[in-house]
Amino acid sequence: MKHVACHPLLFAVVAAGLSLNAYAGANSGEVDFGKFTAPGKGGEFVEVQIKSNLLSLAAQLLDKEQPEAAKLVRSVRLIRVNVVGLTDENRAEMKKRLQHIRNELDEKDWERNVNVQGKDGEDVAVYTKTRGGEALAGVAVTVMDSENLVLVNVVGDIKPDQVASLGESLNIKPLKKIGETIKKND
Amino acid sequence: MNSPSTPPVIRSSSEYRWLWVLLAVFLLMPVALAIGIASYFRLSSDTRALRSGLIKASGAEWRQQFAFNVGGLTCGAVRSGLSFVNLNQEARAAAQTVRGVEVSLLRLSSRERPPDRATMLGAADSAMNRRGWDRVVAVLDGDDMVAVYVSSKTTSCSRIECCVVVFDGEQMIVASARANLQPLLDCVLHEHGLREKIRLPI
Repeated sequence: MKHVACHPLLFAVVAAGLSLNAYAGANSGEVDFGKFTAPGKGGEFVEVQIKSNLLSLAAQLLDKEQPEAAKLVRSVRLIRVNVVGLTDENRAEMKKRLQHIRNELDEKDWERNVNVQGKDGEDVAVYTKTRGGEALAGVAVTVMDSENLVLVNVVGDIKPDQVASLGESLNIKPLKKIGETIKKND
Repeated sequence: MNSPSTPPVIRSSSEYRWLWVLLAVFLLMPVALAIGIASYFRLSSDTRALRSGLIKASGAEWRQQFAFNVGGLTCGAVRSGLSFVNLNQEARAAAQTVRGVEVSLLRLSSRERPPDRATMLGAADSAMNRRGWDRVVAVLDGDDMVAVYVSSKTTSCSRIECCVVVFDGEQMIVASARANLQPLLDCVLHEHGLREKIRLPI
């Protein structure tokens, strides 16, 4: 204790580090979907995780000719996609986990922008987390139908108008919808 | 009476040094050649770790069909050789892109109990994560399994390192490649005018 008191600077640095870490955690757009295991024989399982090193590589490719697109790619820090095939064995468990993820998102002040309950049981929800009201810290998409559970998480520092543009350019309807909804909310 | 004979010439040891060097080269050449040839059949430590992780986790017996490793030296020699050959742009760019390739093909010895692909994937993940590789893609579908790992050192298209595992329930391919994508990208984008076509409306 005497040592800590003798080094107030060290104490301040450690305290600042811890609070910054806590702030980053609270404002991070990253969602912990947890670890998924592949379903039994015949079940489908896809996991894609693109981290910042590969995204910066993609940005480098676009840098010279498409600086704006490169900027957009650079603003993304992580893209994670999970697709788990639903079987009779894992359907109940996956439903429970989806509910748990959604509850957590609600608790952590994520905003639910899109909510679709389809005729055939499709259940789609799109959540966004804003940073300072100007940029998106993260986007989370959860989809459950009779065959699959799909979870998508995009983390970064994304401007809302960029989301819509990205959706338009890549023709991804949910992204277009999110962009439009965010614009309306503004 | 003996005629006065000329004293024998005693050469300094430095004059023989080149002879020793020559002898060493002659002796070492076959050893270097043997090591060089053996290196074509020896996988790098990362690829070996991935392969052994998968084999161990499968709990099955595997038979190696073949394994080869074409390293940077060979690829460099091929690139140099091809510079004297009249090739089209695409082929030249492709040759300039590859910096090293390793492939190992294995087959299950018996199919009594199909290996658990999820366990294999978990073992492959931990083996690769320990060595600074991240899994980018994993697909398990039916009997098939595909996993792609990228080295965390990969931050530029001039140095890309990736490992791929493909298992179809009977055969497994563990492959690794090092590449410099820049020549291929330049060729594709410039030659085919794709730079103009790929345009995000931002």
